[in-house]
Amino acid sequence: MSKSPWDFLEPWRRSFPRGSASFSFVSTDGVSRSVAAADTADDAGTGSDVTHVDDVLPVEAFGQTVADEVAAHGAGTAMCFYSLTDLLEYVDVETAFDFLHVVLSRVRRTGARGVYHIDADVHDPATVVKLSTLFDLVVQFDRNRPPGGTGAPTGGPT
Amino acid sequence: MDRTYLDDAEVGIGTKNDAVLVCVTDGTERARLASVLRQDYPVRTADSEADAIASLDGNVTVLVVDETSDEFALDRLVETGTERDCRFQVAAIADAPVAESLRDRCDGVVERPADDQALRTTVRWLHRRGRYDRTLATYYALSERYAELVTGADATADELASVEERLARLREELDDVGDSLEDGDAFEVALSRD
Repeated sequence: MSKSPWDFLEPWRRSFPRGSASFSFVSTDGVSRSVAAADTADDAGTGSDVTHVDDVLPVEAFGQTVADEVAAHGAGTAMCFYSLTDLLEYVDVETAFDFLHVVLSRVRRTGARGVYHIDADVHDPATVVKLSTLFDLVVQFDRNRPPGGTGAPTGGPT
Repeated sequence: MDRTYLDDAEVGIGTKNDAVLVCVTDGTERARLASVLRQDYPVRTADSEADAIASLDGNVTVLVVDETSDEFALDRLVETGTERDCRFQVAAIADAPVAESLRDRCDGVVERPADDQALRTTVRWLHRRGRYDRTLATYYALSERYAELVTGADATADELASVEERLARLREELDDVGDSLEDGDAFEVALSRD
């Protein structure tokens, strides 16, 4: 959303041995499409593909595209959702909550794993706690800690 | 809708007090449909709109309405349910020529003559959607309460533990029913909640 897929690609590539992982993106990074459908483009030379979902479409279209991508890649897929903060610019907390439960359900059903980012500094604490009930584990990172520090698992309610 | 839905016990979904309300004027047909649906759920019946309105309460998960009868106004029944804060899914029984046009106004359509298996499959499917809607609403409300306790100053450890325990129990049920729905149904139900 606020970052382009390419902002993620290079750091991820450096983190995995060459050829050990493939990367796919579902993006609403402002690339608009005149048709009301997701558009997949193979980015020649990078070995990754990006599915653009027009951000004027209902959030359901984005969710369905994410679900389709996770299902297509199958069990063992690691899914990174960036970010809940961006999502909350489009929809209210309750809608985001409901939407996320469906996405989490699709990820779990496929045998994949998901990591969902939120910038806790820009939301009221109640919003963050409320959303936390959807997840198995909450890890809090303090951006003021020196590099190399580890996130502190704060746990979830379940 | 051509998928065959397993019964709820097979996927671990409790039906609790959920009821199906069958609104059909013809006595023979009403008894037949009720008998078919009683294999899965408690069934209430109504032969008039006044009866139907009297029976509409929070336990009704699926409303089955004979759209071919002038006795029942689908929109009025839905409006009454909404006013009473009831959450239910609506299945219309209709003749084939108008069935398609009803799909925007209700959640499911069974064409007349209502085949036993088609009716059971549709009601099971709608019940699954209805249960997801209700459980998600309850889970959200409980999460709000949890957030209040965590961010407030007055929560006791016992109160917090009690809500956490209820969340854990409910989440298991919510995940079971959510996982049992097709993608389109899950997104549609979750995102049409109000």
